[in-house]
Amino acid sequence: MEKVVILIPREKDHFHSDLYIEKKEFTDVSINGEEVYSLYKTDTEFLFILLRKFGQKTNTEYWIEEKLIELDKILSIKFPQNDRIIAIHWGGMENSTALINYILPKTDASFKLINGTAYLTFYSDSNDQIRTKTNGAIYKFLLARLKILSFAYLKKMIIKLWLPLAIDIQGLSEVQNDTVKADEYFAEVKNETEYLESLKSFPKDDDFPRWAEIRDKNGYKEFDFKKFLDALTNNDFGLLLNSTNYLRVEEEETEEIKKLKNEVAELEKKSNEEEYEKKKKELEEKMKNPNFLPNWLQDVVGVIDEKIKESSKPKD
Amino acid sequence: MDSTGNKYLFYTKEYSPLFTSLQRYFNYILKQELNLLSQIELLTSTNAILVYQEERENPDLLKIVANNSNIKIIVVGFDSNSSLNLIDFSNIKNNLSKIICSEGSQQRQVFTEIELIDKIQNFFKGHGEESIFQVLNAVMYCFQNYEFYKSGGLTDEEYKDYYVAPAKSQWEKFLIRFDKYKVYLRLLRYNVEVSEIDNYCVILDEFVKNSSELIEVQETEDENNLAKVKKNLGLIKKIDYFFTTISNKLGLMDAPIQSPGS
Repeated sequence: MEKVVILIPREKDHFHSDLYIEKKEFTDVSINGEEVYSLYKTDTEFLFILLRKFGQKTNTEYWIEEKLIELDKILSIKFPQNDRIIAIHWGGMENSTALINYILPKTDASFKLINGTAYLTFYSDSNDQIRTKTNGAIYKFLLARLKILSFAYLKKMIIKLWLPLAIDIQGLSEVQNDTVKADEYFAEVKNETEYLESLKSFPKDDDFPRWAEIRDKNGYKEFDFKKFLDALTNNDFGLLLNSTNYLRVEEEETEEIKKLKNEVAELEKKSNEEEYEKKKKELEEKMKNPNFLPNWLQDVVGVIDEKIKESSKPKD
Repeated sequence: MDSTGNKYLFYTKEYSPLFTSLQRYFNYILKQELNLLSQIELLTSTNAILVYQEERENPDLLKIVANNSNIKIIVVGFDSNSSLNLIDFSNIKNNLSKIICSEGSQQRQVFTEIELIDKIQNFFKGHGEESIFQVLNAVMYCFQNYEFYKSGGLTDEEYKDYYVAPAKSQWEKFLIRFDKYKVYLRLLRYNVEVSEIDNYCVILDEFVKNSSELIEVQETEDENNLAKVKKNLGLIKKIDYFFTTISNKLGLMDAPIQSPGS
């Protein structure tokens, strides 16, 4: 379930109305008897807003981490690693030059992950301008942006969690005919218990958008990431080998690839950069092992990219 | 397989599983050693640092990159559409083999030129904050009015509260911002300018921090103080000159520093 946690430092109370959330019920939060925050919590949506203090000296990342610790210690709101949290770090100072245009096109560029936490920085210097730009519905605007960010976050998490395993699978596929080496390699991989365990928690089935479509299109018929993971954690190299087609050695170099390789080498010598890059790309495409897991991963993230693009389109 | 030297990796805890897998891949498949980057003194031109694309902005990494122009940086990632020339994992064996075999290959950039310029633009214009020129201007404003204050145009209290105190706060802001962004200026090959500004900042910092001493001094020290103020104003103008030049060169022309009232 997604959740919203909005934490507003006491000295920034005016943000209640700026965010158009004034109708929501806030709880006063005290630290050492002094009211320092207004807190709004709900379990229906997913948003975590932090407002940066004026003249803050610390690095943004440290500051957010500090606030997360504060939330945990003082308010008992826990943000475990890999939980999907997006903190919106609302910066900006009074009496500044207009930079509202900076907000809309560049927000994704500011998207980062810190210890499993995603945060987005919104810069503002005039709340009036933000209100105008977002037709007054700042809160609505933030939630809309959040939808996009959730996809972006999903993409990063899928890559972050599955890429290491993908590299191991590729490595195993290349040594599988050398029994001693394969056993040794496999032993090392399955020894990564903490990492393998983390894969079970994420992604969930729903996190694979249009998986069936991708699977059918690319012929990943035998791939089942759960089965695959089970085979790994159960030390079953045989099952891994037989039940998936991801441990196939790369195809032998075809005549076509040999020819392409020669052409690329010639073009490199001739310093024909444009043509060289074009041919190089063609060669790389041809040399891709269609069964290599990152290709599959690329398809999954490609679909997420499409969703991000769709969500970014202006709605009538 | 030829090798250009040891490969070093840079990693933070966040991406340790990725680099552990890569270590295994280097060891079993590429027959190379991939080490944890831990000793800066080991870095030479024959070494390479593998950087995962999501970690490009790590401040410690950036310092290493900016201060060691000979290091070969290999950005690895998972984005075949990236504008950066990264080593894409989607064809891992082929791509990694190429970097190991490619003797004397060019250093790869951590950021594209466009990305760097974009960052420098943020430095100059600020994130919804004052431009760097405005921040410098605010510091300069205080000291440009020193003579006015000494001639009786302002009381001690007025000068202290409305000139010295804001100048100190703006100066601190300037230092924080410059410290954060200077690495990007270095990556854009403005090393000389950054070193010069660094030197000026040391002198100016001492002066600004002790600027309260300009108030309530004996008349006999006025002349000496005035000279000191003028000298430091000159340094601020030099910094402004460097920034204006860089801004112009990068096509980021911003409002230059202006005298109060102009």
